[in-house]
Amino acid sequence: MEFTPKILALVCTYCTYTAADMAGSARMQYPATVRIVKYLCTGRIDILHILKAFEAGADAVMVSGCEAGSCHFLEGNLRARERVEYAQKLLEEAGLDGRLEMFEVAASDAPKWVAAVKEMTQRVEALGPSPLRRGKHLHPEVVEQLENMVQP
Amino acid sequence: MIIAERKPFAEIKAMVAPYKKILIVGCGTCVAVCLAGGEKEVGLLASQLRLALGLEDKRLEIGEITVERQCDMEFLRPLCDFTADYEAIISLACGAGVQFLKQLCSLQPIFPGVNTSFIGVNNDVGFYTERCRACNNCYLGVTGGICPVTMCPKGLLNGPCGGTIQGHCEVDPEKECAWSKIYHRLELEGSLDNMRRIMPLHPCDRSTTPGTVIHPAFKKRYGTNE
Amino acid sequence: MSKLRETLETGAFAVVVELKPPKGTAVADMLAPVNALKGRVAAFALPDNEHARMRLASVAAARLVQEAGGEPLVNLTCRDRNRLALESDLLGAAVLGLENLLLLSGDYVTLGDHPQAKPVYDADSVQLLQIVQGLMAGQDSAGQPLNGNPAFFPGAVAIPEADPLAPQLLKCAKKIEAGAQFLVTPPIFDLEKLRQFREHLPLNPVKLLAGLKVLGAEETALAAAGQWRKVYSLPPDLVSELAGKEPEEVLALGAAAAGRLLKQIKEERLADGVYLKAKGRTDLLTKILETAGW
Repeated sequence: MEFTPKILALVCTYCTYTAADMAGSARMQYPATVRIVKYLCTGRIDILHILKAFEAGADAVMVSGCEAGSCHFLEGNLRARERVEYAQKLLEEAGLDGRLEMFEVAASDAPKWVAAVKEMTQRVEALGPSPLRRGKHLHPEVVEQLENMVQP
Repeated sequence: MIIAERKPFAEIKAMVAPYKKILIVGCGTCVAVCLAGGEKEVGLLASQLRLALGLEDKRLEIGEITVERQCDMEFLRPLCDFTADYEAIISLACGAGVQFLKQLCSLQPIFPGVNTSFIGVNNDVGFYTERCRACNNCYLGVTGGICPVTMCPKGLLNGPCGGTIQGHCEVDPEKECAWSKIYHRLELEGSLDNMRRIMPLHPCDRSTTPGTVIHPAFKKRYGTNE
Repeated sequence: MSKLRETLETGAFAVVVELKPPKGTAVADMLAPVNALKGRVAAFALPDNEHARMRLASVAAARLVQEAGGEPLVNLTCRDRNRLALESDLLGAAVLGLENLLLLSGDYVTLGDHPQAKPVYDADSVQLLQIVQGLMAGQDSAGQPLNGNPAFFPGAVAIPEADPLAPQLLKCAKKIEAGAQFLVTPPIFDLEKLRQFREHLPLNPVKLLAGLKVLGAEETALAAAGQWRKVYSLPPDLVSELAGKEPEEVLALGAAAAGRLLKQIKEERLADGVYLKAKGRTDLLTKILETAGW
């Protein structure tokens, strides 16, 4: 059976989300492996959101925010990077290495978003499905929960 | 406040290996501020354990709860009924909290999820340093507000040892020599005479463990022999 | 009265040689310099777990030195003993006839070979000097009377190159107030520093023994690499003279340099004596003394 990765992308609305939107309108082609959850700022992303995504069976999580120095809230993206690095450590301790990555994609940089998704998809294809997924789809409740958390 | 560090994950995982249903109890005071054992850390540890055991195809049911302070029976007592359902408990409180919680839940084994480090300060988020050894004989009034018992690794009371190098400590070159700093502060205050006086031997009996303090207003209630 | 005290009090120049108590029970090497030099030097110092590395107890080693005909100087640190142990060891030294004491705080345990050991520091060096004064006056640190008072000749350490110097001088004054009869410095290579330090010392009968050391190849290499972190400095020209040479050649050159310093200290009377650290090796010590014309 062919394996289609399920990647959860936790992205900032000011930069990556706009870039992804632009990639769509420009009909740029990239793998249909990501489910995007929009945050007001990557600084809002909690480590628990990331871990819960893996508990629900995500094959990978990508966090994508503004380039250093251009956060709408000044340093939310820097905090997100600290948290992602800590979450990587927690996941490694639990036995899930290499499935979480942070990216920086500016609002105007749709090709970079496309490249990021391709890179993450290839990485997950090489790693194989998350052992926690057990053939299931990404648990819809979790995505919904996350969306409820970040949207008014 | 009390500073703690979470124990290595592998150690915690090994502690709970024999159980199917455990409760993680956080503490909402000191260890929450130092990001070691508050509500958030309870969630992270529970999630991490579920992931790790899921990878091994094991099932572990984890209850999560955080109380205001585990060193206070007033906050612990309501846990009484709640804990009965679990085979084992991980407490993320400091050592005091762990012991107090176990006093309440005598039926299950209890495991500490953090190592209690010291009494210290919150320099900035995530950055804590020790300030007090709880020696029960405070010298800060004569040492320019810097504790020689804590800030000097040797706890010297009469000035620097011979190991000061460019104002830094022989034990940890990253740290400033406490006595260099004390000298400087006393000089600024104009109270160098404090340092010229020979300090007598430290009364170690004052910090014989386990310590007990009974507030003077409550001497009658608790008796003075405890 | 101890021979060291006699030497210093009569104003004679005192050469103290530091021995190396063994890690183990083979004491012959430690005692070799005593047999070779006992007629020529004032005393032999016995370090107390130097650099927090476990070795033969200094009191026991000192007794062996005495039996071999040498005058011992017992070093005692606050690192490994609480006040009970300090006091009973001091009484032990006294009944063995060991009078000369060098009292120190002691290098911290984590820098030594038992880094997980419990550091004690129940007393500091000033308080230890006071304890010694108390014992000599017939009472222990808890104020209880002794049955038979010991006699000691206590000394302490002073750091001429301390940075900052002011707190160190203040502590030095306390050590003298607490009864230090002589002060020993860490190794000195730049005599100008010793000269300056002398000026800071109060005008009272405290004696000064300047430390002299034969550098080893490892230390020279560290200094040449710019990684020297000690309470004493090394002159760059000495480091470049020694760096890169064979270990034995480094030691020989270092011994010659120490010998020249000894000669100058004695001639210019920059100190009342010297404290020689030459890895406890007779050949190096002999070379120093020969170079100095001692």
